[in-house]
Amino acid sequence: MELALDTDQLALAEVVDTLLQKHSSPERVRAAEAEGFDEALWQALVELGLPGIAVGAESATTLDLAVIAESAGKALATVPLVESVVAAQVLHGRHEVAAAVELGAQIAVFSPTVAHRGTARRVPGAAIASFVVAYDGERLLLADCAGASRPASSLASLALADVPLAGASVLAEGPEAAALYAGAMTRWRSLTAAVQVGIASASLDIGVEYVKARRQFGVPIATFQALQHRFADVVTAVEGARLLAYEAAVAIDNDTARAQELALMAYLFASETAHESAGTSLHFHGGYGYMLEYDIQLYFRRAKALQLLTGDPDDVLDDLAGALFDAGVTR
Amino acid sequence: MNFDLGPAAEAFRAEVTAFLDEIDAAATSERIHRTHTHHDWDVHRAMAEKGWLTASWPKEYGGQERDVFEMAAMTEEFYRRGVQIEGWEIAELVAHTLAIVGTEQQKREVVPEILRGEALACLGYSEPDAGSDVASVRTKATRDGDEWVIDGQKMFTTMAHESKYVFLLARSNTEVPKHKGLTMFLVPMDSPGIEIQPVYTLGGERTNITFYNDVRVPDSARVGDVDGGWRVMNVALAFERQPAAVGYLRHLIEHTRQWAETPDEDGERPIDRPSVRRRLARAMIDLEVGKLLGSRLTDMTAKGLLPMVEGSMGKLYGSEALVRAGSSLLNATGVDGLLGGDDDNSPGGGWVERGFRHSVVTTIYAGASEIQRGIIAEGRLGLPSTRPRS
Repeated sequence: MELALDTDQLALAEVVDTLLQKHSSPERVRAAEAEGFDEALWQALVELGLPGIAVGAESATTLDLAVIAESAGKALATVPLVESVVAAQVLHGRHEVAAAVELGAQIAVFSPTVAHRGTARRVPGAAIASFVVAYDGERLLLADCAGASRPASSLASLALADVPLAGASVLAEGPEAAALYAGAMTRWRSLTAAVQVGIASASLDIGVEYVKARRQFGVPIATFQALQHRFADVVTAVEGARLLAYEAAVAIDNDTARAQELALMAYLFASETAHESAGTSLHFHGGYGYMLEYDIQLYFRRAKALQLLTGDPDDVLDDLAGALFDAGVTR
Repeated sequence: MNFDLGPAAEAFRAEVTAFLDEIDAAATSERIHRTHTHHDWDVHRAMAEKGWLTASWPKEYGGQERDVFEMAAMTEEFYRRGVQIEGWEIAELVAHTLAIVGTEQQKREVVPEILRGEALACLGYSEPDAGSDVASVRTKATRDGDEWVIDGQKMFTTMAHESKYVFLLARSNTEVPKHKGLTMFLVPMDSPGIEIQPVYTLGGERTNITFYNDVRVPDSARVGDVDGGWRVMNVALAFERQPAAVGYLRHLIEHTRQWAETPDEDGERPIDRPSVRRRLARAMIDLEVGKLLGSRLTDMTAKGLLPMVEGSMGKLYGSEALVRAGSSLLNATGVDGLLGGDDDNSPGGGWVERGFRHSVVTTIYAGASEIQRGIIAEGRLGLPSTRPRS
């Protein structure tokens, strides 16, 4: 047993944190809200090697990617990081666009829901990407985003779009497509769980800092047990969620039988924890938490949006039940 | 990063599993439950014979020197199969404490006696008026020449009726701040003046009130310094192992799942109902998180680090999760949850209903949830202490 990240992973986290302090400050996050994409941030991540480092013989492990994803969550990085990494992994060796995608020259995003009636719906990043990788229940497809339609308004800055799949190239069919999709979903869930851990962690820090400074009734409100006890529950859940997200990532890297169920658990639990953390911190800001000017609402909205990307969390819980209790069902 | 206990632990797990099969764990577990006492002398002797009471102890104590990973695997299996060893866990904790701060005689005689499986020790900390505020205990220890006279009472002295000794925290000084006026004693339970009164609980287990009337012990029964009892108690705290609630949660889930996967008289399985599946899946997420927070303690201990806040987090999460699951999984059984655990038709061999009733003690004992939250808030988040000054 070894529950600490190794020195390389800790160094990686530091490098990414430093990059994001520069390229994903709250000001940059707000500036990128409307489009849901920060081009300069994307270029900085491309320079770091994303998404290409996620593929190939010497690729980063899922755990390494989870470390990056957590940092991205902490800084509310406004790029489709997880979707582009997973898409690159699917496309590697399967389509000629893979080379450009791996270099970050063209953006491909993975759709974490099954396409319905010929359209991949509410795909994060599709509004700014060139391609989407989508599964329609029978075939794994690569579609051009040229015909994508973007909602007029959305909960958080994810550059969502609906993408028609007519004319898409077929990457795989039948059982092979189902297996590729299941594997991609497992990785998407594990990495998105790590993003949510980052959101939860940063939200907690914001809340704790606020209550230490804010005074009412002659004392910092940090001295009140009602606040302290909720924060204690939050930090416990955050640390549990982090361990669970990493456990899922390690299971994926070791290709263990539990990888799918752990990724489902991690995504569910980390999403709830992010929602709880951001919500608690927002509440303890009092009226200020409700103002757009304060940053906590950015985290609150992003946490909820990421929680909804694959559907109602109760349906995700049903998927988990399937993985736990129905042997051999692909989700 | 690696989440596994490792090959040595898995090998030991297999040995423990074989032992539990041999003693018919399910029947043993049922028998232990019906005695209302979380201890079985036959199991205890069988463990002593295998050298497992001293499994983690150094060779100089006749121990097997097994590492924390092996011990974690062993604990997991005992709890999974419902074979209660809480009586032993408390006695071992006392033995560890005596081995560090005990007198030469206690180290030479009492520790081996406990490790041979011949004697148990119980904890005399809580009182009717002192639970979370354990430093405020009022049981008095008055020096009289070479002896001490102990007067007072202790609450929830679990296993007193089976123990040879009570590890007793008493007030030796009323002139100083409360936690500085305490002394710890190892009091023989057969001392004149001790009375035991059984207390029956919601979970079905028996504990005790113990009364101490003019109980005389020699100064050699003292553990640690005069007025140094608080420090001795903190040494003992460092030996509290994995939060037990996670083990109970695993047992509860496995028994609920057994019930859920069994077709009913209409040939239908409860686990095929969405509400049942969701409740079980939710409980299994909580089990995984609780297990991971517990694994963190194992990892830290293996590295020679002393878990402080991490212990509180593990205990808080595991016990609160058990309370949630106790209610939720009984709900899954519907009207059959109304049957008492002793009824032949009670789901999961009765262990779902019993689990519900038992779960609520786990958020109270070993530091109530509110105490743990305060420790976490101060220790992990740097928030100011909220304790009233006294």
